[in-house]
Amino acid sequence: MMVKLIGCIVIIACSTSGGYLLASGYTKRIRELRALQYALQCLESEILFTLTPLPQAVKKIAARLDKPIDKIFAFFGQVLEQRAGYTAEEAWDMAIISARDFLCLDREDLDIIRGFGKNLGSTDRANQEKSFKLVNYQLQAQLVKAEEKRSKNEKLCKNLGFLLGAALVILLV
Amino acid sequence: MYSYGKPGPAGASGANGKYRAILDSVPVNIRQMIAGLPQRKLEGIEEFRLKAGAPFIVYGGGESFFITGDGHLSRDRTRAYVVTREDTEKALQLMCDCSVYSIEDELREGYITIRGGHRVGVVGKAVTEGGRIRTIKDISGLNIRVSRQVIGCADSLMPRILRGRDGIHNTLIISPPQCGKTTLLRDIIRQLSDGVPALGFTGMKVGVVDERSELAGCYQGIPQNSIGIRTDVLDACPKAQGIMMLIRAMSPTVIATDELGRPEDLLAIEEAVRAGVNIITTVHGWNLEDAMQKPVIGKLLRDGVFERAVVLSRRKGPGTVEQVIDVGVGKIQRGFGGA
Repeated sequence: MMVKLIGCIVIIACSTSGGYLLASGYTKRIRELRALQYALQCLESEILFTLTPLPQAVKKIAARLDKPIDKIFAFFGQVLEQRAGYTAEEAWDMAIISARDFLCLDREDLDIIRGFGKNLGSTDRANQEKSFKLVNYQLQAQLVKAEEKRSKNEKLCKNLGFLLGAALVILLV
Repeated sequence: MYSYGKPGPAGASGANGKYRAILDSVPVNIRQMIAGLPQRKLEGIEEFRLKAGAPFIVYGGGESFFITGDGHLSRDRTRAYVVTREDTEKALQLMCDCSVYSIEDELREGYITIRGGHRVGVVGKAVTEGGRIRTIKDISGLNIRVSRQVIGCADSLMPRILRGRDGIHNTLIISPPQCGKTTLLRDIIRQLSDGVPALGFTGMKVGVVDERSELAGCYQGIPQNSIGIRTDVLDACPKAQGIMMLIRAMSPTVIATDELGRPEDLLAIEEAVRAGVNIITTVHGWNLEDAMQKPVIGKLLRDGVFERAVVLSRRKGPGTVEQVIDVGVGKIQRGFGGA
């Protein structure tokens, strides 16, 4: 009897925490999108107002970002500083690929920031400004979508986790 | 989906000393070609020319060679590596640390300065706005000019330029293109600034207005050439404005600039002379008579602003000092030999 009870508790605890974990992904994605927006705003002012070259600008920004977004910028800065012959676009791609496993961003988000990398550093100031405006606008739209998704799914995931566990327990008992 | 993995070591650009900055500024395939050249041949190269759709050419010692895809010098055009548009565009990005926005002003002038003080001439399609060049796009040709610093090339001239312990004779260097006037001026600046122990001269404050970033070769504001410890550099600053700024802000004893000649420079130089600041500058020309014909320099010479004129040629290689003329007195000293 005691063993059964403990087994039930373990099952329910696991499935509930699974549900919570799934739900936290939605919140984390929003946090990451916001962090990304902030980071790009910092980069924008470094580029447009102080004309800091990318390697220095990126290094500076990476130091004051939170995890895990800082990984993208740290890696990006590192590749640029090595001057191994990669352009900003290639280095940016490498950075995103290296960091994407740590991120909760979805494919669409990643495509947007990779698209942004295509112009990064390779054009004059006026074009850089446009490209920053565009990515900011796109990220804002993603943020709205992410909020919607969270409000729809977060509670569902949490409840579903618990209920699935409970259903399993009933079936087994 | 592709993956790059961790960034590797910096490719072929190992320990190639002063060529490091040049290697870093070209795409990896071209790096390998340049790095493959024997050191002795590399030393002789003055210009690397990359033009989209044309063979990769280098110039040195008045000769030109093609560079082959496997990194050899050749006179056979058919063996030359043909530069692609991708190469030139990538090279431009690498030259500015992937920050084209930061070199907009330089690009407008048609050249950029890279680390190591090397200068790169840029051609492509000019985008104009209201009759002024806004930027250059579709970069098709790059000419990397290896910066050469010849420490000590002004040794023989210093006694003629110095006037006592606290000043110099206002000096004009007259030289045809490619005869080393910038190299000479740079070494004069260095010696004025650091001092010349052999002459018992301890050095003075020198202000440099480096409009074309050639003298100090500033990269991101830091001089890449050795130009002395008491030298203040205003990089990429228009000469006339820069001279005024230096007089007011840095109290220099000497102001040095390269290639004087615009009408507004005249006022600035007169102002500097009035303020008791000594001047040293250069001008394109074959001899003193030639320099006299130029509107701005001619007037300054006739007004007796300059006391010394140094005439250069390529007779015994770049930097041959043909004459040192005491302008005020009209006394000519010939034959200083190669400097």
